[in-house]
Amino acid sequence: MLGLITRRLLMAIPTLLAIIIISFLLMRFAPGGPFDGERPLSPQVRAALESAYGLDKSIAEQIILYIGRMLQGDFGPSLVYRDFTVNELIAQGLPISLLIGGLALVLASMIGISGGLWAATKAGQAADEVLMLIATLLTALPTFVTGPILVLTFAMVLGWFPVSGVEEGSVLWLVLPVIALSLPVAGAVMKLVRAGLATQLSQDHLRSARARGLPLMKRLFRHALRPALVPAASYLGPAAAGLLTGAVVIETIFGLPGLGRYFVQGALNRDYPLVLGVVTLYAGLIILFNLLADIIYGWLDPRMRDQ
Amino acid sequence: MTYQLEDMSVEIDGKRLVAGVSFHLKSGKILALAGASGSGKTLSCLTPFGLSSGKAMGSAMLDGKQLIGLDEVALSRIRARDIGFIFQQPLTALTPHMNIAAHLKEAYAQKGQTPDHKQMIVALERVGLSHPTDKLRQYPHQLSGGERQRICIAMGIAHTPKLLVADEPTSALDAGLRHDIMDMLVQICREDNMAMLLVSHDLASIDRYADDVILLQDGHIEEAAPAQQLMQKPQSDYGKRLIAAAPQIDEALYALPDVGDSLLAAKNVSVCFARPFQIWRKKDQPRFIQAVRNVSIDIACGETLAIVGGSGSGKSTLARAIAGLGPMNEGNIYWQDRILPKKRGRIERALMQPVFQDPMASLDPKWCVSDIIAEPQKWLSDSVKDCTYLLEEMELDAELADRLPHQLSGGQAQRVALARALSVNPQLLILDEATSALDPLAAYAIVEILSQLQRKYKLAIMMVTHDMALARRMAHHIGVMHQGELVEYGPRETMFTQPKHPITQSLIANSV
Repeated sequence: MLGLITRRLLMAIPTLLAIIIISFLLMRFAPGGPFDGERPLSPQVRAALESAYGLDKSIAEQIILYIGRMLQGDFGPSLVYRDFTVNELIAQGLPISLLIGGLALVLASMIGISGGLWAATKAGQAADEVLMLIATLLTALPTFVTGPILVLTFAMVLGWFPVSGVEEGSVLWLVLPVIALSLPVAGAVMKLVRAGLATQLSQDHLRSARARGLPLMKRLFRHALRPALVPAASYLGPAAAGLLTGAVVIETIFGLPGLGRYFVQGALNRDYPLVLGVVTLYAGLIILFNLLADIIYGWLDPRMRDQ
Repeated sequence: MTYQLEDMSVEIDGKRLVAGVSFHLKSGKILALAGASGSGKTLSCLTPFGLSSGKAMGSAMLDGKQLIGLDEVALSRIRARDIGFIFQQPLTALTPHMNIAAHLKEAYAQKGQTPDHKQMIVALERVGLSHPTDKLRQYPHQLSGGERQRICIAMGIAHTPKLLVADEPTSALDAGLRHDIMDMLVQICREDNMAMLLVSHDLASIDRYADDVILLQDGHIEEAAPAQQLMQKPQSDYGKRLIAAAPQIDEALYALPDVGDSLLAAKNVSVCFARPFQIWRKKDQPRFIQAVRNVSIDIACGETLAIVGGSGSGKSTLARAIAGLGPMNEGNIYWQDRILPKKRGRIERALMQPVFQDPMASLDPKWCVSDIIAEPQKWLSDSVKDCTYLLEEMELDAELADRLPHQLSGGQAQRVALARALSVNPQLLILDEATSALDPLAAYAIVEILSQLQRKYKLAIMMVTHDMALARRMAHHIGVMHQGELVEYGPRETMFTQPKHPITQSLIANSV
């Protein structure tokens, strides 16, 4: 276990470096720059700005400087949000994204696992078919469809929840974005758990458990569920990184100041440090969650510990 | 306890697969259900307890209580309280994420008991497991097949059932282990005065374990008799054929065809495999596994050479190296004084052809029989042998040519694999446990065909097997392998009368 963790963390270093360098180069090769506004700047102002942000140096120099600063935890200044550093912007947006994403992850796992289990107990019956149809629909419907439908129904018609924005001292504003964000993931998890259980239920060790007279529920929970969760875990690893670093669509629909919009805004504005900061964070989280998923595999199925 | 079947039948999807099975089983007795594969022995044994996909009809009375027609809840209560089950595949019968202690606790819980540590240790010791304290903490995949089957037995008897149902409990195990495990199982049964329903296709040893035997063929009872009587004087034709088909270690020696000049010689063959990468490797673990160590063998025209040994002895690795299908690190293979190149061309491939253990796995499921048989000729030889002729030689119907592999029985599929190997006129056949996945009758048919072909074409055969009796029946010479080394080599006549190496002696002892 310790070996796995050290090996993965060591491998993360070159991976992250490669991601940073590739994104850095891609950003630079994209046409346009951070100071190409609607009104062209005079050459003197542009040169002053570029030298102030170090953009006049060679690309190689810039990459090395950037990585050097990043190692000290400094993602540099934002080129568009002039009074803020990237660190400050991330510190502002990340808590909201983490909160919504984390809650959506928990909700999606809960709906997905219990739905998959329930469908498995009704295998072959109408309830199973209906549940799997719902799961397919949930996966297929994009959040920009479900989000507005939820807002229309529960915020505008019924008036139970706020339409958008963050309300201090209340949790009601969280409900709709979290639900909207979790639904597609919940559908996918439900299908994966159902399929995993179907594979497990036909295995020899389940027949042995049946021979010992265990009722269906005990067989499901004690003997089938854990190995059946392996596919869901490998899906949830990368999915979690996506949920936590901000869902652009959801944040836009519900007007939430999360991290997602910095991704889009930064890319559109050619705000190099901001995009690189968010990309690095995202990549780091993906690596972390894949590692977590691997550790969870070991718990779900001890055979994987020895591989 | 009494368990009585009266005119019991089993249907799957409206198809009657077992009909009119009746028997009577009392406490302390062992009843064996035997027969070829597909004879319905497992179905007749598991269906009344609701553990197969079939539907049982007729009557199955356990202590005067009718089992057939009971719902799943009632049946599961009866299974938990009165019946212990042991299945064929110990490798998959245990839940991978539960350690042994959790398994044992669950087995005891069938009767509402919670075993303490000491009780579990005693249970593991009773089934002959060493280091029981460590075993309790281990997970199934950390144990060997034999150890897992012992755990399954400990679980099967933990709740002191009245009836133990054992479905081929040893057929997935190494030959050397089978007797140990069966002896222990029978002893436990006798000690606890349990009744045992034993499903087995291992006729050779049935009289050693069972009191009575029921022979099943195509879902009906062909013969029922006390075990010893049936083994010595089978009444039915089917019984006679089944018993004659299984090779016995003490049967009269079959006459074998004459042997010609030397054909193939392997000199000082060694094969080693790299261990899978591990970060924390123990200091005493070597980097490589030496699978075959410095082995030399000779095969002449028309000769059969048997390589025998337990699992992991390196016998299959040696066969693959000779066939040019697996790695070979050192040594040379000579074909009539010519060194065969490491990378075999089409001429060398056509000289020798392999046949593997699992016929279904070695035939492409999407190809029909005639295409399967014709394929090697396209690449390896210029002659075109007729598919019908080859099928005929294998004593198969010409109409099988259009079938797909899954429409064949195991025996037929293996004969198709054999026809494919022979389609390019090889001079040497390499058989890797080619009959061990088949039931005795199908295996016997293959052995007969092979000996005819050998006489007809002066075919040399190298066979890898764990079955000493089969080697004695078929082979001119026998080589015994153990831990990668050829520990004994000699003609079959002296191998069995004067075995020198302790491994040979124990292999022979385990075959009786």
